[in-house]
Amino acid sequence: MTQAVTIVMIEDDEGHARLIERNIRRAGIYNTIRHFVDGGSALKFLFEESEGLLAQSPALVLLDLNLPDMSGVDILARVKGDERLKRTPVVVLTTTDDKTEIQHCYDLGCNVYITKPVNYDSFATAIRQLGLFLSVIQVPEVEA
Amino acid sequence: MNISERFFGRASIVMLAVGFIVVAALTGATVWLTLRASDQADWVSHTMEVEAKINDISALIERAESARRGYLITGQPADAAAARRTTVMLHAAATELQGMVTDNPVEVSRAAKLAALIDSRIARITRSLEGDVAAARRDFGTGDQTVLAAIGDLTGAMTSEETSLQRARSAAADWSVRTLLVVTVAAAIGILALGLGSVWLVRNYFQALRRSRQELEEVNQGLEEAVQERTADVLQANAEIQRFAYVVSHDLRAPLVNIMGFTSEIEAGLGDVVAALDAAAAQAPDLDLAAARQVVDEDWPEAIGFIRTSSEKMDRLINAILRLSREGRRTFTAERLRIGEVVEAIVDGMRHQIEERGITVRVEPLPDIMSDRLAIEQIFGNLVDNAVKYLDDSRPGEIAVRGFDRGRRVEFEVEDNGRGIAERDRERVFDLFRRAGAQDRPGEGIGLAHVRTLVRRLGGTILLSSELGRGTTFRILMPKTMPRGLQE
Repeated sequence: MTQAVTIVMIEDDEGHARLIERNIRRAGIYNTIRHFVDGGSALKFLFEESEGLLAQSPALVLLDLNLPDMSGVDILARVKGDERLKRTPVVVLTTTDDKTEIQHCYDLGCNVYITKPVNYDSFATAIRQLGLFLSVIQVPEVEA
Repeated sequence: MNISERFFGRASIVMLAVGFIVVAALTGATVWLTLRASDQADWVSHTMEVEAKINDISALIERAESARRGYLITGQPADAAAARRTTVMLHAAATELQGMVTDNPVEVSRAAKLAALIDSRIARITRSLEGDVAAARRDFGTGDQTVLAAIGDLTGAMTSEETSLQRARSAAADWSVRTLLVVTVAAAIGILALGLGSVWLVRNYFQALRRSRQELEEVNQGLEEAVQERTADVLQANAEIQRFAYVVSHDLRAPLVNIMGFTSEIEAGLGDVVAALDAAAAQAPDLDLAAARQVVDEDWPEAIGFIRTSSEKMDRLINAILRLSREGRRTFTAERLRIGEVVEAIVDGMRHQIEERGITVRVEPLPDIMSDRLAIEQIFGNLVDNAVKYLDDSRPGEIAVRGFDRGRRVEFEVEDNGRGIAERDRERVFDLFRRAGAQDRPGEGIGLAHVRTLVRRLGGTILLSSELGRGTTFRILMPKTMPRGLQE
């Protein structure tokens, strides 16, 4: 993954966000991580702000589904329904392992769905592997 | 008016009996009165015959006298012959009359006297006809009138006697006929009344029957509605609980990730702290680091160990709740299930354990039902598994699975002779994470909670009866066909 790619992390739990960030860094990924704790500010960043995502570098979204103000599924639908953003990879990283939820997310165009393991070793391993995965994937350029 | 079945039974028997008696009495009376009337009619006609005979006799006497007179006047042998013929007829008539009046003693003596008088008259007439016309002419007229008058009196008395007899007999015959009429009419009225009574009785009885059937239908309808309402309520409450369990278990997981994650981070950092302490000790040997060493070497690892085991336990419990709530949200699909085969398959799955421990499992014939296969398999799987798991090792295990058809519902029983459940635990065992007796067998305390949730979702109930140290019986009552509300 090129240095320019911004990781947009939408995660309401500060502790989770911190653990995810630490383990991604441990995997050797040093891209900018923009953290949002609620769906509203994340959507605002993605779609509205003049210096928002669209105006900047290509991005990758790390999305938690259980947000205080809306469901992560709605954000996924907005991103995948937008002409300019639909190619942006979205990694759903959440505690839900409900089959219908997983299906629904892939139907909406989610690229990777990862269930957060409760066991920390597994959690750390999963996030590190995600980091390794991020280090090799190609992210499309922003279309002006 | 409401007619009880008993009253109807008694009343109908009484009416039937009364009807029979009336008909029998009517028949008897009719026969008797008819015979009597015809008998009296015979007597009336007999009386009339007697009267006619008496009249004949009077007429014959007149004819004999006039024939005699003719002979005395003319002296013609033809007249004499006519007179003789008449006297023969007269004699025969007198004898006949005597034979006819044998029923009446007064008339018998009168007829005898009459016959005697007639015979004396015949003798006198016969004497006049013997040829000596001159002597006969002289003889004519002497004493004749007295005898004739006597005969006239006798015939008159007899006639009036017969007339009064005839009147009396006619009256008796009339009475019989009138009585017969009255009896017939009365009986007809009686039978009509009985018939009307029976019709009334039957009509009322059927009305009562219809009413009670209607009431029963209404009650049934009400029950059905009540059950449906109740089922809907239960399903609604169940759905809410499932949603709640899902959300709660889900939201509990997120903090748990933090607790476990940061505990690991602390643990990982502990190595650095130990290294730092070692370095500090090497640089400044005077420092008293015993307390700090105690903390990093013992207290913190112990604390971390407790946090970890507790959070792991919590994780297992949350997973269990999640699993239950997921089961609870699954849509049931009804299909025809041969419960006997389902239970046999479950028992077969445990065959190894059953044979190794010498357990006897008896599966009796079980009724088929329309229900969700997975739910039913889980219910019986858990119950049989529990029965096997909690057997008393001091005696050979016996497990029986029975089923009963209860009309629209079915009842299943899973009975064991295991260690039993103490009274205070009998409700508790159905609660999530609660287990009874010695905690010496593996398990999280989920099975029975799951079973009860499933049974309730299928519209049934589960009960248990148990005796500590003797065994336990679980009893499931459920609809033969799964309620529609549960299906898609």
